[in-house]
Amino acid sequence: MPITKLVDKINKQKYKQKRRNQNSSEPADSQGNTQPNSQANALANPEDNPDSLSLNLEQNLQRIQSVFVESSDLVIRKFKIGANESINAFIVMFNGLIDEKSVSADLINPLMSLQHDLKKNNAINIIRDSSLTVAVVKESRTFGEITNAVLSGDTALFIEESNIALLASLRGWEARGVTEPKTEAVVRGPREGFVESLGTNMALLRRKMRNPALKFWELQIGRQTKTSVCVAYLNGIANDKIVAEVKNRLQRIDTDSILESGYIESFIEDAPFSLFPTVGNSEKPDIVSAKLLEGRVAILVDGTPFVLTVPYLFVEAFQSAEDYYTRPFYATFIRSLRWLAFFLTTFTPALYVAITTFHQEFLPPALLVSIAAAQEGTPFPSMVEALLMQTIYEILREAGVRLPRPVGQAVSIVGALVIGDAAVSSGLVGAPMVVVTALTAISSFVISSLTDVSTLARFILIILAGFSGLYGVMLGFIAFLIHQVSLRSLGAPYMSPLAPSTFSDLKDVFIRSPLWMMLTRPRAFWEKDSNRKKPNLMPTPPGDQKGEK
Amino acid sequence: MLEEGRISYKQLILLILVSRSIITITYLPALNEPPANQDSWIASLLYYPIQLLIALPIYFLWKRFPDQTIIQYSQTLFGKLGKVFGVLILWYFLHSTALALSQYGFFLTTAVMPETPILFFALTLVLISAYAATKGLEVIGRLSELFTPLILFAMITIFFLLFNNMNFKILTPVLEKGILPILQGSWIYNGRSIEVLELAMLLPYLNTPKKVKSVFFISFALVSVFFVIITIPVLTVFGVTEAQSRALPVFSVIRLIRVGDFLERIESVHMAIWTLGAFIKVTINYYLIVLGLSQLCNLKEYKPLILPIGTILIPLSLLVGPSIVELREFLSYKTLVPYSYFFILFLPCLLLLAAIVRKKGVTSR
Repeated sequence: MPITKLVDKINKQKYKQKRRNQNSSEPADSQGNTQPNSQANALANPEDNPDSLSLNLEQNLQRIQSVFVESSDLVIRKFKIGANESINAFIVMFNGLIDEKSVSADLINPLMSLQHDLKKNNAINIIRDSSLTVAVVKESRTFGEITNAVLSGDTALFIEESNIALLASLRGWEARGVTEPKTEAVVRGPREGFVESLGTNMALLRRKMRNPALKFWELQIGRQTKTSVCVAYLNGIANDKIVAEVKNRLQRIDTDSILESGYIESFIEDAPFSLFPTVGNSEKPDIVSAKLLEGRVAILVDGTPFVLTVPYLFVEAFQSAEDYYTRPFYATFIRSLRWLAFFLTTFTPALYVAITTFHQEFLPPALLVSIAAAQEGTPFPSMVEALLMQTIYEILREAGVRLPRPVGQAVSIVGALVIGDAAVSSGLVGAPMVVVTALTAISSFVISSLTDVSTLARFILIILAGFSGLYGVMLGFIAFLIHQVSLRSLGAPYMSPLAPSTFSDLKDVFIRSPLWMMLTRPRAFWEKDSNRKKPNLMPTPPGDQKGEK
Repeated sequence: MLEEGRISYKQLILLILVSRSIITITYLPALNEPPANQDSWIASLLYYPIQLLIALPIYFLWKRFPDQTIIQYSQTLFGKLGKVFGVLILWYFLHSTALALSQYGFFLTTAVMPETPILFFALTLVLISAYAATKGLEVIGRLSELFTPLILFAMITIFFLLFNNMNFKILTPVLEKGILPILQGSWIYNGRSIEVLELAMLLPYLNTPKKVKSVFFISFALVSVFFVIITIPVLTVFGVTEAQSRALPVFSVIRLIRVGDFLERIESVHMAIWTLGAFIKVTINYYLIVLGLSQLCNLKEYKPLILPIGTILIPLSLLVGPSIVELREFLSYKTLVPYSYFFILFLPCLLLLAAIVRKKGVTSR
């Protein structure tokens, strides 16, 4: 089993680190040992394991204080349990990770006013069973587990003469509310988007699908950050092999930090050296739910609203949630526009360079004359011109994304006036090139998820076009396609359903057929339960009502 | 196994279609061969039954050796001596690929980029085919699936755009010289079908062996229809004599397309599909040479052979076609047809005969 190997490896490293830092004030082993098998060891022989709790409350307190030395946000509250103040206890929590009101009302208050006849040996059971008014309470015997839980926002309760601590989940912290995501705005459709909290994100998905088959499998990744990562899938609809493979790849990750789902992406993707993304992401619960229902697997990462979905196919970049909420005709039209825009943004500058440099005869005479007149006064060949304008555009775009809002106007003025107008009137570049650059830029916004691919591909194609004309562009096109069809995402061919072609899946590629015609899940990765709905769901007018007049 | 990938029967059909018909979209040598008159298109139709007959030995051999390529079963049949057959077949593959490369380059230097040396085209196409060949059979199959619909769509659109210029009276009188010259013409067209040997190499890699029959039937039927779609516009627009005098008949006919005042200069589309199609043809043959050679030498891996074969292909393509006149001379039916029938018909028949006599392979149940 890979997980035990992983744990062994981590433990070994921890051990080495401990040996190295033997004289340092902070015990190193307090960082880790969250895995279940170390707990099992602790249960087997509690005296031998240095990680297990002691029966002495004072020792436990010192141990906690030594683990969290120099943590000014740590709160340790000592008090006495019961109305007769018979038993000493203390709670440990982090200021800011807990809900203060609940801790007072549901933890401290009931304990202090406890009327039960408490003895030191049964106190823990009575408190757990009939005193704490907290929904989620866990028992723990090891410092490693307690440390981890307190760091995640739990409140730990230590009681005199007990080597068990209670972990009460009274979490609460400042978080962004569920708002409409900026990246994926819709005209029609749900407005809610994922937030930075994993719990909220899981709830958002759960609310979309009231179905016990929706599974969340959680693990922690990151030696230092211990980030919660969660694999979501629909049992019976997702391909078991893909789910197992995702879990396997996640367990393999042994890095110090996971700060965003992009970190996970770079560790699990199939083709790390490819321009093309083989892991998708989305910020919207309705999109992720739709992908889960198609049999995909989602990966939620604590601390980011971006949820990963695998397998990710090329054609998904051309699908948008709104396609399915509007009627099919306009959706189909928009979808073909997206394909067109993708080809425009990738190929227009290269084709312009190729035609003006090598194949002028392909242009109608009138257009040829005006282009020739515009190019007449410019100093550079059109390949250099194209590369120059594309680079300037990319710089402008990057500046527009990063700059503080009040400075925005300055960039627009510089962009529009200086680069657009002045560059042409001063004879630095030809006016047609500005038009081509603008067209490229506008089209690139249509396919936002492939922007990075189309930008880099554009530069490569411009250079090919400058050296060998249309022939070079064709070769570049072929080379890109060879690369694309050789890619796989979690076993599913990346260019499916185009190549290998599956006719039944083409219903959702260039056209968006009506929902009652989409009877099957994508064939690229389904395993079982391929039927999505009953056939013959086409709405029809009520039958011939002959008597009616 | 050398190649783990499998291709679907759809992919195989499209591969065979492009590989067989792509050269005709520029050269169309059939116009100057018997019957050499307005009945060429009937010869294109009759190509189909004759092609099926010629493919029969390959089909029966596949029945006997469903898991082996022609290189492998010639060794099963004759042992060490079988390697001679393998070498001969590989030579034929190598030669035809070089011929295709040279035809590819000559078209581009004459029609599109006259100042570029032909070496450049051969070099770039071989490089990109080598890249595809390293990715394996699966990728080549998928590429054919992507490119063939584009080629077919373009050719059918061109056919309809030329409808205005066509004069169907040119096609009369039908059967002016009788049926025999037409049959001779179909026989000649079949002489260029290296695709029979491609099938002999590729059938073991089909993922649905039940569909083998439909691969034979559908792919050659499509090829036949494709020939007709190409021949008819050339004949009816130019007339027989003018069509015969053109070096690049289909290309010239495409140059005539003008729809309204905005849709003209379609020949860039022709160049695009020519590149796509020639890429598929060269890639599949290149790949089969490499695969066949590694089967001949019992290698475990075919990838190390890709670049060496490429370095043989490029100079060979320059050698087989030192000039367009010499190339055309060799490709004319008087030379090429007897030469290639030795490989595509005589060798398979010999192998089949040996298999029957020696009772090797799976005999029919």
